Amino acid sequence: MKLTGQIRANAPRERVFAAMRDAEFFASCVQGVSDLKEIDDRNYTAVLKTKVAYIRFSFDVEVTVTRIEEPVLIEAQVTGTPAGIVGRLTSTATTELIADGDETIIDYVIDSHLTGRLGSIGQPVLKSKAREMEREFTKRLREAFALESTGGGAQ
Amino acid sequence: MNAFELEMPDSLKAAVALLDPEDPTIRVMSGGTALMLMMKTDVFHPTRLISLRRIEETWSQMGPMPDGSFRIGAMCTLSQMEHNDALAAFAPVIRQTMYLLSNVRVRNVATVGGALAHGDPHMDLPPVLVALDAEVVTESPEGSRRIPVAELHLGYYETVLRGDELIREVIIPPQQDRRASYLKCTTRAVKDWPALGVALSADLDGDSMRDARLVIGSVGERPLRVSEVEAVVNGQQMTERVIRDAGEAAAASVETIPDELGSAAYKTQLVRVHVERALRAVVNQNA
Ligand SMILES: Cc1cc2nc3c(=O)[nH]c(=O)nc-3n(C[C@H](O)[C@H](O)[C@H](O)COP(=O)(O)OP(=O)(O)OC[C@H]3O[C@@H](n4cnc5c(N)ncnc54)[C@H](O)[C@@H]3O)c2cc1C
Repeated sequence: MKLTGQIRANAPRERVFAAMRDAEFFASCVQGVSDLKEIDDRNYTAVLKTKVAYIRFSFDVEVTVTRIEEPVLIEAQVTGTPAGIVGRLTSTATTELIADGDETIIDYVIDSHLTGRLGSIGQPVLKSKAREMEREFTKRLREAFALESTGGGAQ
Repeated sequence: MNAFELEMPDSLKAAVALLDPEDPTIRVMSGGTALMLMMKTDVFHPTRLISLRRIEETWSQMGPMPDGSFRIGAMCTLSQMEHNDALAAFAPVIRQTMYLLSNVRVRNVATVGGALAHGDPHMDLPPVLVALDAEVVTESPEGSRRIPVAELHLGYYETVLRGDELIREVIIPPQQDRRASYLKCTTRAVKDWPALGVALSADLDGDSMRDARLVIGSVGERPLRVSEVEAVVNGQQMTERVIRDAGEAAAASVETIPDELGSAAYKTQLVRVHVERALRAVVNQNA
């Protein structure tokens, strides 16, 4: 399943790039992340807790940054192993930063796959959950940086 | 499976009292067909299940009401609904839906309360009951309230029901001369979970359609009522042109989510084709 989107950041590209490479800051923008550990500057582990209605999930997450082109691109592999369920969530996340005057457009593509028993719960759950997390991520980024989303233009 | 407590209260009120709105690991169980699947796959680990099997018999009975509506107790099984002649006369679309809903083993134990509260958007009955303008009546410590089925579902497994609120019955309003139809599309066996479900209920004045309610299931996070299609068909003679336009309106306005039964583009094509077919089915039905 592919999830794509754009977030407009009210900050220059270098500053946004630095923030995206700051694991602690990045993790603080994602709902439900705890126990972030930096193994080195390209490998991280964390715990992600999330819920769908009355069902709770806890994932052990491993992140490996596979490509960095400063200050335009970051690509990462993310693997989530759910506690107590046979299955795995694997994602490749590619983030491109496009300078637009004093602002930056964060253009992202996240390609995810579910295997094992997680697969039977289905992609739609993943998609609706991902959307919710995306909204929260954008909100937290905005709060931290006074960012503005491209979608939310004047009406 | 982890150990859990099983309670067997003998009244609906006692069942409600055993729920804890703060603790999502306590759930009621009706037929158990959906819950067991979630437990077997380790997705859900309850600490306590409250079986509704022994609650008052009235909640597993159904029948017409003096005001012309039809009442179905939440513990009525899908098989009971399938075989009830009064219900089949009142809303034939329900019996028609049951023939293709899973298999007889599931229908013999699954209940209408569970089918509505489960909140999986890949289900056949919720869109049908939305198209019939049905409501659920709930029971909680605060008393009872009526909720249109159209407003019951929020998203995947998510309903507006509070943690200590149960569905006790379903009320379908009088249908008068309305016609209704449900088209289910499966991509594997015919009785599989739907890849798409289209429910339509409408009044027909000659060939002219009025007050249509078109509901699509299994393509989004909840059953979707498609007002864009209703706007195309209401007040119109059901010519081939109008039917085509309605299919296009559906394909353009319904956002589809890919799942194991098909991609988003495939589901959009299913929407287009099945909305047209549902309209034709209703037009061609004997009033
Ligand atoms: C093999 C198989 C095939 C299936 N195929 C189809 C299909 O083709 N089409 C389709 O539509 N469905 C299909 N289903 C799903 C089936 O319709 C549901 O599992 C069933 O309707 C759930 O009813 P239940 O009484 O068994 O619910 P339960 O499993 O008892 O409960 C389901 C959920 O609802 C809650 N709940 C139950 N009763 C109430 C109540 N009165 N008030 C509030 N909450 C309540 C429970 O806490 C639980 O969260 C299939 C299921 C199986 C196992």
